[in-house]
Amino acid sequence: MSKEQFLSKIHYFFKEQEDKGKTFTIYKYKQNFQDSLKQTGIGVKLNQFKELILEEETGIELGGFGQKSFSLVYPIEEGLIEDGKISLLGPELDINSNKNLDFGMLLIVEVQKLTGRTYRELNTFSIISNGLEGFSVRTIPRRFWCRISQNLMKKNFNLEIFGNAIIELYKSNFENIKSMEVFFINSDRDAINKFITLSSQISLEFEKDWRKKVDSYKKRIDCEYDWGCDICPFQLDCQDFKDLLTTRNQLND
Amino acid sequence: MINVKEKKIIMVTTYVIAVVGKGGVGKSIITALLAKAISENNIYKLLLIDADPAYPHLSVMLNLKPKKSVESIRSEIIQNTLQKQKDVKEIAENIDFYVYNAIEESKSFSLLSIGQPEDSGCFCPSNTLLKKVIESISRDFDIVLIDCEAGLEQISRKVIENIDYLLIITDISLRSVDTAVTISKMGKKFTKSEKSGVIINKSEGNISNIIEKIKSHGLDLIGVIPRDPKISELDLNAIPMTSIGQNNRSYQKIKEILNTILLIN
Repeated sequence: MSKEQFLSKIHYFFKEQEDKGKTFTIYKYKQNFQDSLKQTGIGVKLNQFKELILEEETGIELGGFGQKSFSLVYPIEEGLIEDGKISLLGPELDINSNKNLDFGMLLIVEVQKLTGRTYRELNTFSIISNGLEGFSVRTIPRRFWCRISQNLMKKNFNLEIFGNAIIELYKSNFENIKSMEVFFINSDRDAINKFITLSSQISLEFEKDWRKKVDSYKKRIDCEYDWGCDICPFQLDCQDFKDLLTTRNQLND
Repeated sequence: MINVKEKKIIMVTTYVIAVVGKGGVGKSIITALLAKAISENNIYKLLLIDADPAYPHLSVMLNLKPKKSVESIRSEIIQNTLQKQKDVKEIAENIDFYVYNAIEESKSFSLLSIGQPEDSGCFCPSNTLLKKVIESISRDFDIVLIDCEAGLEQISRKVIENIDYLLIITDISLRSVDTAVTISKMGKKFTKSEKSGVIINKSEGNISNIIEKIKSHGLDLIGVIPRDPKISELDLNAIPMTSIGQNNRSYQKIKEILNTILLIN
């Protein structure tokens, strides 16, 4: 599937959900975002807020164990997106409703020169975690898990601010970002499941690279029997774990 | 002395420090004091890994008790996988959550315990699996400090492959220095670490022969910590090392050592 096709499927997916009558909101990145934050007292600055949010301090947890979640950073080189657009499917955050929410986040990033290293760096969510006060991300491959502190929620933090903060921090960190679009799905398990199925199609694009990686992982597994599988009494068990390892690596990539 | 706070070193990637040495030289105490020093100014996100299966003392010294050990998670995964109690995909999807949830967190630092092996047999791929999870989780932290057992092979096989700095602890016995030399050689074999430094702990009297021996093997001596009755007292009464006073001279030495380690990063 080409990038154009994937992006058009993404836009169609959100349009379809909206047509079904689901809550759908579009925000725009504010060029004067830092000024607009002054009234709220929320801090957004690269590498300034390295903090862990403990369970007892947590106001809302997005994703996490037992919740449905996804995160995907999709870098492109062509100008196929609307810069600064933040689409939210589902309700805004509300401290008075559920504390643990199903959540999905897709970042489409147009970069000037895309390399494997850029791809890895774009997927490093510490950029967000360390740049937003009262917020911490826990990295789980392909899933999303973050904690928003009670204090941050008291400052009326919402997904519009979150989307703006992500764009601000990414653009501050990567000089080669030309444009960026953000998609959130909040508290809609059915839509998240459908989106996971949809986004899994793009992994085919990376399948060749992934196969090579899996082969190299298999070679890198240490073996107390020096790969003398014929004499190894744990041969069958070992295969089960190789399958498990391969499955996790597949999820990771 | 350059103060870490003034210098405000920005970590671009996670920096992994392994604390190693012969049994009884004070690895866990030094790890705990380093943890206190690193977390003092809230500049870094710190993950501590207690990787000594025989003597997991770090939790007592830090007053943090991990909910579960990695070995107990490994044991559950082995059972679930081999007895087909859970779908492979379900385990693969959730294993990172299991390990993350085993971390005990505080505002200053987080602690993950490797624990004692609970199963016999060869499960090397499960080691690789958990190692990959630990490496993935480590990326959320600026510094990972590992309190190791004496051997390095176990660390590279079970805990983490990429070690940036090998911090070798010795006391003033020649056998301990011999172990330090061996560990330094093993470090080159089992880890990708290019940097290392030696601390002489529990120093007293004339230690010139010890210093000479360390230097003759080309090891980099980065600090000497005197035998300290205050540390012995805390250790004896199982009082967390983090309660040590700011002006304690051993702690001051630890802060100097930390600056050395981080500034050569």
